[in-house]
Amino acid sequence: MAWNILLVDDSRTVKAVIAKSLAMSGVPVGTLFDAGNGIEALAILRREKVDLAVADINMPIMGGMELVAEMKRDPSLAGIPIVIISTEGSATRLRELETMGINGFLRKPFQPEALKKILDSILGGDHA
Amino acid sequence: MHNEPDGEVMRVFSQVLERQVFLFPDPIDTMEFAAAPEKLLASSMTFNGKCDGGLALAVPEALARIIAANFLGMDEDDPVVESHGNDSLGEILNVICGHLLTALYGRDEVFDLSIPRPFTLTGPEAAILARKKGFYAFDVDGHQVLLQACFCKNVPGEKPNAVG
Repeated sequence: MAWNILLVDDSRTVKAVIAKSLAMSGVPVGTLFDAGNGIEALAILRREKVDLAVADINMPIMGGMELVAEMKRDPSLAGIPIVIISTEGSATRLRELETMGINGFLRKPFQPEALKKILDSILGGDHA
Repeated sequence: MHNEPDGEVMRVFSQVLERQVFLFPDPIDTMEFAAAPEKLLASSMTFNGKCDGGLALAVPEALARIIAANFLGMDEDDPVVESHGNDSLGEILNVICGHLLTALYGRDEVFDLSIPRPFTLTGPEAAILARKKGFYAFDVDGHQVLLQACFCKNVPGEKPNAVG
């Protein structure tokens, strides 16, 4: 089975690095969707079949915290797993994100192996 | 956690460059920062929380290309790399900012970070700025780099200093 994954980050460079990490992880990716902020992400999530969202926190227009809150408020999106990849180092904010229901967190800079470990725990590790 | 800001700025900058783009900065005296003939790509951002302030990073165009190439794991001459110069510089600054705030204030403090904003500097402009308070100079792969760390209030061991 191939997974449709949504990357949400205002940095094209970061999205390219995550896409490369996904390719290296062995996770079978179907369609890789791409959004530059939370609003764009919500539009894609409501239009397409997305299996997992990978999002930054600090983005223009709508950041990752609001995106997670909006997804959890919408019953049609609430079940989609969310992984946050951010420069954020605050344990207070991380606890808040965990309470909101994120499924994984990676601090930048991250190693591709760390992303693979999180994806394995969410999607199941028998894809490689 | 209340560490010495100067030492933390230099340590975090070096650590992020090493880990993210495999470059190894050497601190240099800001008075020795020379006006490079080429334009410098720069990025700045602000932060708000227990302390308010800002960071800026300026690097010669040639180094911006190396940073983007290493970030992406691509060859410097790849045409894709050229378009990632500003973006990768902003992302490096974003990572430096997050790690520096954690190093100075610990993991319990929450900060709001602005989006990195790109701009350019001429070599002579950078040389003038290098002599001001709050600027740090480094040699990175043979290129001179300028980093500004500006803390407006409540910085351990630091007196107030205006963003500029």
